[in-house]
Amino acid sequence: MKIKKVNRENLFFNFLIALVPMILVFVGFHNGLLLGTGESGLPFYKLSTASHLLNWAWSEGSLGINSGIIIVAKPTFLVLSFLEKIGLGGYLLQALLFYFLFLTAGFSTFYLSRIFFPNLKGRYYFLAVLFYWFNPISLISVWNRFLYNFIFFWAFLPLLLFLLKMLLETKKIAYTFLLILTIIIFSYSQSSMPLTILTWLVISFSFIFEFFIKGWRSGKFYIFNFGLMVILYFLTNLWWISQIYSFLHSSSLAATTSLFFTASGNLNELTFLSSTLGVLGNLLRFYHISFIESGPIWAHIYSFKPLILFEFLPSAIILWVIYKYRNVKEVIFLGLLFFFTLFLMKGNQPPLGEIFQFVFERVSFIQVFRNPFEKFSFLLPLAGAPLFGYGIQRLVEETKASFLKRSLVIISLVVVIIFWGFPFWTGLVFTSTNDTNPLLLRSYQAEVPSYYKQANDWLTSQGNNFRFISLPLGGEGMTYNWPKPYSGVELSTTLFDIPNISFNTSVPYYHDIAAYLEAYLITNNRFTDLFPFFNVKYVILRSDIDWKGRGLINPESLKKYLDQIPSLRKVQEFGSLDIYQVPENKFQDKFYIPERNILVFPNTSVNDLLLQPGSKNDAFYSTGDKILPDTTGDKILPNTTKIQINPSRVTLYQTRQELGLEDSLQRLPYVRYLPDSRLYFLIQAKEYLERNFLNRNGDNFTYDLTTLGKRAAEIYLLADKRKSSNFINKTVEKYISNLNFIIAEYPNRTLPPEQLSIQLTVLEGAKFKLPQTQTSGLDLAIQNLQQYMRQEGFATLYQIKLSSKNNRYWNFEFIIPEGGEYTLYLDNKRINDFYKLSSDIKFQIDNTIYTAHPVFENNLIRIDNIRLPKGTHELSMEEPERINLISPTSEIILNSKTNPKLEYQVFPYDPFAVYDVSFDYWIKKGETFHLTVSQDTDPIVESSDQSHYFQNIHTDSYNHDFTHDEVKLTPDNRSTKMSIGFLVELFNDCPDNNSLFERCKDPIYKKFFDKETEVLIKNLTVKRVFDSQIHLIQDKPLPITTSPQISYKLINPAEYRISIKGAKAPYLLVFSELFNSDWKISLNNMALDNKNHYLVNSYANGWFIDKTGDYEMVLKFAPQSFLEIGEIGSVISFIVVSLFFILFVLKRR
Amino acid sequence: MKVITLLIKLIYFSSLLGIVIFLIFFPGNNYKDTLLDLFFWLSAFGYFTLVITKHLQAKLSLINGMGCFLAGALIFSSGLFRISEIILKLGFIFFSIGLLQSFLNLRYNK
Repeated sequence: MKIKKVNRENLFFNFLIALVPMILVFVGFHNGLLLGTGESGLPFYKLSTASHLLNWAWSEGSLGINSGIIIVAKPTFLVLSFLEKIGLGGYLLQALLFYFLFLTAGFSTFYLSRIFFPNLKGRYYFLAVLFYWFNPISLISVWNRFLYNFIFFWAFLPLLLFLLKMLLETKKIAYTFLLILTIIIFSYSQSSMPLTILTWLVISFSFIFEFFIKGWRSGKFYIFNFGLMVILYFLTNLWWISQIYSFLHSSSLAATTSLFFTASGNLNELTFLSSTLGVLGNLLRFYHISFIESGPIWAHIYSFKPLILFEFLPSAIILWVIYKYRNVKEVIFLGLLFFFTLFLMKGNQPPLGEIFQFVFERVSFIQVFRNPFEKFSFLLPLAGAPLFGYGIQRLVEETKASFLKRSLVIISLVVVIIFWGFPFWTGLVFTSTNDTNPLLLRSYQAEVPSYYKQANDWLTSQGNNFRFISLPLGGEGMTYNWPKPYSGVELSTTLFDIPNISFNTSVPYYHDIAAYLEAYLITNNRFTDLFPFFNVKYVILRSDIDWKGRGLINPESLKKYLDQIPSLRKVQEFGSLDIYQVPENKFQDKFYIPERNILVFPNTSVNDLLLQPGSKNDAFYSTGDKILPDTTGDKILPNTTKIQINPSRVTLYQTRQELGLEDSLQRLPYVRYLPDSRLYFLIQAKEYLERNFLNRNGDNFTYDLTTLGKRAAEIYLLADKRKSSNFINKTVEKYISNLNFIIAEYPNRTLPPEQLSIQLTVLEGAKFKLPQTQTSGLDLAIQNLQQYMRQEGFATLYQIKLSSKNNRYWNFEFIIPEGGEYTLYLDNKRINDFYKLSSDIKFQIDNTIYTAHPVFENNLIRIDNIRLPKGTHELSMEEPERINLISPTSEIILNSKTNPKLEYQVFPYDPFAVYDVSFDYWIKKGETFHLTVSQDTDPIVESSDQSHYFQNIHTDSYNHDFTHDEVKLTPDNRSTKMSIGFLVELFNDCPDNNSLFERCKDPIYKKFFDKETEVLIKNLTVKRVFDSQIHLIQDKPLPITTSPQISYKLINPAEYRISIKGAKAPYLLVFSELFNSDWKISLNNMALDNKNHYLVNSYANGWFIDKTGDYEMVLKFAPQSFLEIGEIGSVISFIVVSLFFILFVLKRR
Repeated sequence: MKVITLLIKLIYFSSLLGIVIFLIFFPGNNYKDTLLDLFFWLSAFGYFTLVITKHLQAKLSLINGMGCFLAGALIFSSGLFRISEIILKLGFIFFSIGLLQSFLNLRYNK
């Protein structure tokens, strides 16, 4: 009877688990609109397009990109696009998917709690479910974050733990198979490395716990099943694991990581995010504090002080259970998981955060957890939910007074269902802060206007062998001002079936093109000359975007520029979309054989494509490191009509007064104990502790620099005192490794030239003290130092013989692969606006000085007839006098009460230049003031323009007179105006801002300490930083042979068949998709050697084909082959695992 | 031996006390984070030593943890976030050690 009652109760709560998500989904989708925001975009707008992009290892989006790990979502989107095909609408499918995921999470948590604590009443299991659904981590990091892979993972986690627990408790191998099958169904949850690692963290944690508790008796079963799980996981997920393998070995990973990520950058990010989000007071309330404080207005209720104590209630119950039932195995398991998660979520924050940092610094793949809160937080409600349900029942049982019992349950329900749950019930969970006004909300509900479909239909009717460019062009994010607006990742890939260049992102080669496209439109009248190289046929101007909010160029301004280009013709208009077409002579197919090959040595950039007038049949190829100076001649391709040499080093060299040896020694750190001293190990220990203990924020630049100087001083003193060469060599080795370490560790910092110059003088001084036979190590150290100094412009290869008034010289280094007569071109870049030029230009090549009368031609300054032999050469020029681009009064007085703000417009202005801002300041009263830079593209943040640049300048506690300051400014290259200004604010010395008591957070109390600030500024100058490019060009005779005919067939985006007819000589074949070393071309099933694969037109692929006649070739992206094998492997494994599962289930029965 | 033990205890407690006093009375110094780190490491090692040498039960560790949690939550709700954070972090150490003790008890059936 009792059992029946329990079952009936469970049935009722199971019904509730099915009902509640139905209500939640109805709230979110009742008006039939799609939900979309953030990185997820709007895939449900057209699932077939989303599915198409995930079908192959190479996706045609932008200039093409390898699909990588995202291919893991392929089965999910195949199913969804199939359902779309049979007539289910996008919003209905999205609603059904969310319902399914809520349901999975609900039922899994219910049964997970039941298997952990079998004797509870159904209502407490349901309480655990409510906890899992509505806790702030689910609210903020899952549903409001709105990443599909996160949502899948959130739903999958309790199911994973449930199946694991069933396996470990019942020891039925069928659960291993079932778990593997479940992972396939939820494979989308594996589409990010941290989530895959977390999956295995939960599996390993469960196995290790059980193994430790049960010991060797059951050990074999656990080891066998764990091993089996690893193998089956690998086999069934082979389709996407193969892509990770390819990606890890591809050229794009190396290029991306080296360009956009650094270990020190990751550590800084970890430290910042840990200190912001890893506060235990917030973690124990399950809160993402940045979201609570600066998220949408409804989130602010969670920081309402009178409610804070209630917010600790769920954690209090969980911790009470851990304390009270510390002997219950399940409690210990979940308690350990709970605290382990807390430890991981707080990152490198104390206590014991050093352990996290230690692992983080040494295990590179752990660096994907540089936002530990976001990634690890999934596990906290997983461990907390069953403990919460169990805790409530136990508290009720242990409380004698029925009033208290009721109160406890009611308060818990209120906290979970109403306080945590209200954003779900009201649909607020699918809203975020409005970009322009933080008091307003922006809904995730979006509706794509019908003119996008019309535009897409029209474009697809024009063929499928072209791309288009969307303008204005911004970063990965975009806000569309539609009647039901959308803000999140840029949508052109979803909205259009035609590949397009519509946003900029950190993809090597592509990034450099997308970043400058608008610049070429604005500044270069040959904008459309770029189109053939990018296979572009149309330009779409969109005026339905929030250009101001996103910091983009006004579409109206762009329209004027586009209308001025005679070769562009507006052909269609769909709603807010204007479509321009380029003429046939500016369009080039995806595959072509160029008539003229131009070798750009050593590397091409998009700038090279417009350097000189050309035709659509040109190709700029670069050899990268394939050509070494001494093997060059025979590697230049046969049809090369021009060799363009770009400098391998461009620096601005300023001559400085060099110090003598004695002075230099005095400026290096004091050395008391030399490396031969017995106490030297203490010095090393002190340095180690100082570096690792005192400076835990990862920025040890100054300290490392001082230590480097100390090593230099030690070398000199050892040499001077004629100490053993053993000690000298070891110290020199240490110096070299320290120098290399600093250069690698701080790629964005420049070592101060004065310091380096002092060290160079000291090292050279040490060299003279040593016998010639012992100087080899020191020579190497000096060479390394000199090389670095040359790279940074602190030294030159040849001594400068020119004499400039300001001691500033443009210095270029060239590697000439083939000797001969070259023409020198200097990029004009409106040189007359920024420099006072003389009619003659003096320059020095190696040791010889020349004078030339330059010719101005096509935005270039040309100097003819420069003879250069093969090898490395250095060219130096005096820098012309720079013009001050602002005209301020001689002295400016800023006062926080009377004159708090001043601004000066920079004119003439080039958004692609970098500027030196220099001024003297004297803070007469107060402590600080701000240097601000405003541009017309500054985004609106909190209803006002956010300055492009903002720097605080503080008073010098020693010097109470004018102080000189210099700043380098890189403007937003989409802006057309820039102003430089100063801002002073009231000084406030509220006394206990840093102590443990924080009264100064109260603005009324703080206001009592407001005082006046006054600042004097003089000698304000803004000058353009030298950035002119120089090129050497050698013309060669035109080839006599004609290009063969080419046609191609698209098999899929990762495979093409190319047909060649009438090839009479070797030629270069250009394929206008993003360069990737994994594109392989084969002839008669024989793959062409990789050495024939070139980077062409600064981003594309080119192959040198040395075969004549008529023939066919196959071009295939190599990971596609792995994908095909992986898919077969996965399908077979899936069938085998399913059969085994059925077999084991039947056997048991 | 007793003298050495006494000396170690003296150094240990005066270090802890010194750090707390320094943190309260010298705000805004550069070493604040480092000192807090040191404080937690000392606390963790100190308590761990006590657990090993005095055979303290898991119950005591968890009671300490619970006490710290409740005190920390109360102080947090009164707006003294930094003090409450220090207390919560101590609670974290006590709970972690207490849970490890319970785990070992479960394994070895003590």
